[in-house]
Amino acid sequence: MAYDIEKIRSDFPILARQVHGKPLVYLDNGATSQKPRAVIDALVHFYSNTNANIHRGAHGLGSEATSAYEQARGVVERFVGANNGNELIFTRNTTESINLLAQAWGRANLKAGDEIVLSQSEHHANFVPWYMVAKERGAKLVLLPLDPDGRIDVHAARALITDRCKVLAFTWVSNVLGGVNAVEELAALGKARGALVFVDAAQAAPHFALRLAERGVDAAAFSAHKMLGPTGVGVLWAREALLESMPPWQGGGSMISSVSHDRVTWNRLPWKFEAGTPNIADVVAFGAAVKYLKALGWDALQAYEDVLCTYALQRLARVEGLRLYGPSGPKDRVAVFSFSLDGVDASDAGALLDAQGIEVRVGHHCAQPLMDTLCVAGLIRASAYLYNTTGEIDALVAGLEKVVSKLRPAAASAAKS
Amino acid sequence: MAAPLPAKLQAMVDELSAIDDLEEKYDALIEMGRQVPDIPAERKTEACIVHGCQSLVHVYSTLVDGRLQLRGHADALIVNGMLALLVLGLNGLTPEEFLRVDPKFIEKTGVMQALTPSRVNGFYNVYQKLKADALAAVNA
Repeated sequence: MAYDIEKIRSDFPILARQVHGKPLVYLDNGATSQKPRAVIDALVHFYSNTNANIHRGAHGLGSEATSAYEQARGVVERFVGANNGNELIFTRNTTESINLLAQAWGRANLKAGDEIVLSQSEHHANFVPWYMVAKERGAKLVLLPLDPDGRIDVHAARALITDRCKVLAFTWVSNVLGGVNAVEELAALGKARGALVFVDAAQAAPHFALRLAERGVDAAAFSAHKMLGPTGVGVLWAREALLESMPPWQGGGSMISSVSHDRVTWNRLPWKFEAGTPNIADVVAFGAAVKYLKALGWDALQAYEDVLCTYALQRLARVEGLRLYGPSGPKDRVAVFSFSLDGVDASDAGALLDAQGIEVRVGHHCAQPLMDTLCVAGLIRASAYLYNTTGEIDALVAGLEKVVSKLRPAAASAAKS
Repeated sequence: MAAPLPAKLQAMVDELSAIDDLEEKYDALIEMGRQVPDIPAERKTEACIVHGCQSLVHVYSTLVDGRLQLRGHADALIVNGMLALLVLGLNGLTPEEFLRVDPKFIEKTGVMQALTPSRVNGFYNVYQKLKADALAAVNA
């Protein structure tokens, strides 16, 4: 099926709006994606027709809501290649998924002297939860260095992942640099040392098939809102045996099997880790998002994004004073581009692009250890997704050229003279 | 009713508020920032740094013949433009006159609506630092 970009864009109502009187050019997809009509409709439909609390079984509406929620779980499971119905936990977001794993597993299993191996390119979401449990348990953080293209250096990893490594937790795709890390090779290094291997798939899940059960990792996390779904839904996927071995994290309703004065028994998976009323409507709408992605098909989506990526790399390379961080070629990367402009403050650039309707992100991108590694205070990040066009890349480049002409020091001295 | 703004500041606010297009508004703000003379390197001390700003901002004031001489510099040009409103728009006031200026004048310029909360806070942090100097002068 041909990739009908105009039809796809028409599925996203927000893309028709203007910002500051200019057509919206939305290039902040690494932060969150926009939502197709199908997802918005699913939310409205749920609240208009199906809303009830779930897993209570007292009435027909509750049964309908429960099956809508659990069907969505099944849709997501199949989409990411999870093994069966017991491995996929719904959380609030990737951050909560990682906190769940770090605290439930980490508190029960880590001890003084153990090493938690992360990388220099982790988002704070895959850094701070491990830092917290490391402090609590007396464990040590080890950061894997990056290769010149900004991917985790596998050779260095071979030396740094030792028998002391109890957890290897790394990002599949850097939210700043866009490089796709060698997940299977890295996972094998961790497994060879008997470590728990976790991969942060927040920036991977929107762009390619995860096939989680085949990757040699024990656990993964991602968020619905970066892959066309609503905000407020995250996923923790983990192998069933791992989840069975972990104590519950949050206590409350739904996660128990029985409660008496002196004894509580836990519900079975996956509900053991879903305390309280979950985000029912948003999970159901996430199911609609996954169906939308599935209908597009990974092959078509990836082929289109590859074209966008190649085009953007060529165009950005010609912007005066632009320095790209991350892979310079289109191979093993997604369409996330972080860069600096010589002599231009990143936040100034962001404001001037915004005034042209071009929405990018500027700053440290929740990855301060990486900013330290790169010796930059902040970067400009343009992140594209399946509905962006080469025309929008042209608009970005034109916008950047305007920014450079207005803000670079030469322009300042010309203005003074 | 709030006290009228000093004439210089009022002119700057009027210039910005008359521009509807955000791009043009930023252009004007950046141009105002370029009118701010940089401060000598030896005055860029820790004590002059405005904390809570995303970019590096230095600001200080001296009292000359009972009037505040305001100096400041920001690495980012848009911040420098907002700084210009304060250090050019309020320069030469007595501390008492300075304290009568309501910093909410920035809202009338229309630049704040588009900026991130951290930058909006940055403006107020600069103002607070200058205000502390003015208060110290009044109480001296």
